[in-house]
Amino acid sequence: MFHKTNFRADSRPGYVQPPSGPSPATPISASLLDNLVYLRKQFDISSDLMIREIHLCGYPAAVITVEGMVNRHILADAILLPITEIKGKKFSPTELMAYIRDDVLGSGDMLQVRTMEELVNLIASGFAAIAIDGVDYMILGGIQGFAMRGVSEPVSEVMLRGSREGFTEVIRINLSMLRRRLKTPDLIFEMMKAGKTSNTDVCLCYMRGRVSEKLLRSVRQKIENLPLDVVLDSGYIQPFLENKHLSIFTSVNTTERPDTLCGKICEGRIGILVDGTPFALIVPYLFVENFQAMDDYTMPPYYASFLRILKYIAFAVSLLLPGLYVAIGTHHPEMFPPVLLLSYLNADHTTPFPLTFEALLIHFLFEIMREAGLRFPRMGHAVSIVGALVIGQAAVEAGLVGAPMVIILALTAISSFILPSLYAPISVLRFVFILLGGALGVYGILLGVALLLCGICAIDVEGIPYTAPVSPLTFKALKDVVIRADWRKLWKGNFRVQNVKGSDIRDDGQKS
Amino acid sequence: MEKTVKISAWQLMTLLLVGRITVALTYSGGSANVAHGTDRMASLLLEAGLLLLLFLPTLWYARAAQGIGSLEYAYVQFGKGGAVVAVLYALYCLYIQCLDLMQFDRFANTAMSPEVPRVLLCVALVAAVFVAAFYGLEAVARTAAVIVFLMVAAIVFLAVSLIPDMKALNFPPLFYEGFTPVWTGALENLPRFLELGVIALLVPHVKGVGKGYVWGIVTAAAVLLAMQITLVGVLGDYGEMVMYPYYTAVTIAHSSIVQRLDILVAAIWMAGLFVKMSFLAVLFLGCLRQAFGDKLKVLYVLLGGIIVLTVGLLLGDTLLSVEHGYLWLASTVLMLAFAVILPVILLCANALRVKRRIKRGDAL
Repeated sequence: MFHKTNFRADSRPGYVQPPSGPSPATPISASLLDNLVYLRKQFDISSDLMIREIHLCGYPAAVITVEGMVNRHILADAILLPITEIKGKKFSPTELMAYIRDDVLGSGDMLQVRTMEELVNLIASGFAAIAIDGVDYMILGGIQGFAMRGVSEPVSEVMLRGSREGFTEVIRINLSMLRRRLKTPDLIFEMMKAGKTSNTDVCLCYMRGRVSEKLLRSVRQKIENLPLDVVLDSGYIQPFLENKHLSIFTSVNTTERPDTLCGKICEGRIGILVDGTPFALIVPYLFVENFQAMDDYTMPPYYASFLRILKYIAFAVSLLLPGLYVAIGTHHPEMFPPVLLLSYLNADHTTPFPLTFEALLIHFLFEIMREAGLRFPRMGHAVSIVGALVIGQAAVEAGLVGAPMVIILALTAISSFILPSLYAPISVLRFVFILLGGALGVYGILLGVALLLCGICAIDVEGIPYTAPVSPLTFKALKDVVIRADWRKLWKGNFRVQNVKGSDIRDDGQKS
Repeated sequence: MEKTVKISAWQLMTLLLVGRITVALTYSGGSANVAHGTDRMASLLLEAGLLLLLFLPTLWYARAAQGIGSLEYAYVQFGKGGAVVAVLYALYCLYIQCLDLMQFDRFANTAMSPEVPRVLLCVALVAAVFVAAFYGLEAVARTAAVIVFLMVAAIVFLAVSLIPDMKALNFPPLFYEGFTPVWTGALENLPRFLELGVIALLVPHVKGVGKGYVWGIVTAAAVLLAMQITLVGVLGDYGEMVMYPYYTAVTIAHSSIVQRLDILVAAIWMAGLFVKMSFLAVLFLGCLRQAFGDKLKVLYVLLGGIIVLTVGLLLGDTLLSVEHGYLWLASTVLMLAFAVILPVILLCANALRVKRRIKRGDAL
């Protein structure tokens, strides 16, 4: 029998381990005992494998589940009760199985499997399997009933107006949220598996006819070839979807909002949902999208445009302000207006450290306190008080840092919170710009900006320039970059991400 | 996903425009008998016309070569001898970069804030430029498109800021000293646009080389004209006596919360210089990769950076002292060699090869 040779093979003398690679599928045996022995061997001492052995019409049978993954009430009412009530009819084992499948069970989520690998995978996902001695396949009913978090407002993308729904950890619920918003058969959910051990469900969500076939092929291939053993979060997959591994800016976005993902999918992008995480990935992701939010599309255009401009300014401020202050203070103080120059000089004379060191110190302290507040939210208030007192007051009074530097820090910090998706690169680059400003003045900052810009321009996301539609310039797409045009204009033009200028994956017939 | 390196005509235009503006910002008046003031405006237009004329051989080459770059064409014509052409191109790119660094060093030494160590600044500039070489042509072209927008916006802002300081009296009559200074002014400035020599290299990488070049020259002429009007309107004859007239004109502007706008000029200039030198560094790296393979690309870049720094910093003063003499002559000869003679040689070599093959009865 298959299982004997399989699971006892390694104990034979002279047995050589076969080369690694995809192991061949193990077919389900007609012997119930063999199947149960195989399963018990697979799960070893694991206590959550539940096998309920019963007799159906005189034949030995079993209902196999994994504890905690199924709803016990549904298991009893929808599976155990109906099958144990089959009496008075003469069936062969195969006829009995077919009868149960076709006439007894009423579950909408019914599957039939012929390999042990499929079986293990499905019972671990919350299916209940019915096995009968003498039948070489099993039928499964989806009766998932594991504990899960309910749908709640996304914490990382709060909106003033619009839906309050955010993704949850369960992929099926997330898919239903998408389907509810886009009721079209063109919305495709393509299920895949990632992680050789974890067998995590990954779903590619895209719109047929809108997504670029080349893009889809590339993303699909990347997920299929994922070398990871375990995938616990979408963050595990994200680096494998990036084209430029060393770039500080990401070309794959995450979102917790189903409405945001729907909007992106409609523009030809691909959403990737991973079971176990509420964060969906979006490919491709362009630089200008860091400045867009779902809120922009629900507000009046003039105000949405105002907010966009504000975000661009906040980006420049959070990235460059400390560096510029250090550069001007150290190398070009004549650039300050006289009154500001006086207050700067006053502060400079009372502090013992050079301006560059002062800036590095205070920003470093700020990052430590921010991280502490973030990782230990219950202590957030205490951290804030310590931060305000230590940095804001005591440091200035003790003469460690100048008062203008605290104002610069406050401005920088507040500005950086406006762009959560860019926080990571901004916080690192800020230190680089402080050093550049201290060493080379405004010229150093400028060189840094030019090199950074060049680095950003060098990123290609699946053949689409990361800096599109600004450079290369796509005029049509500009109505949703710095300004947000009215919906009457915005819906026109049928924007598809793959058709921006400079893209290598343009749809056929698109002008280059 | 396979990537085809292509830039648009618009991007080529921005690359050329940035180069032209960068040179114009440090225009120091030239020698005594060249055009100044209003005549310099006429000289700029004449210069643009001459640059368009000089482009004709390259355009002829681009049409005849049917999308093959001059380097690839050289390999087809001369076999392994094409490597010599690649090295010559690489040296030409380094030559232009050295000239740019010399100008930058002089500017940093004489006009910019003395607090900033100029050697460190030059080292940082060259390092940034050669790092950018790894990003490739597309990245540099996209950067140019963004930076040119900022440069033009800054120039317009400066022009508007300086309107209150401009006086009609400062504009002398056109051709006041005859046409000769206009002509000599145009000729003297011609070899400052050495990028013309590398356009043939870009043929396979640009969608519409001719369009990009023509628009680049025309737009540059318009922007330079605007700069010259600002300069003459503010400084008048005084502009002839200072080393960097545009920079000097801007130092008197006060229309900002920031007291001095000269830093804006320096900033524009550095951004432009970065783009121009990066563009040439990309071509330098591309030529050497074609000639000697890809393995030692880090070494090529290091070597290029060291050469540019050494020549720019150590020999800069000596070479710039003959800027209007030998250096002008050398630049003119090199520009003509790469923009006119090389394309013609390549096309003639091809014609000869075809003739020989026909004589031998070989298939073409």
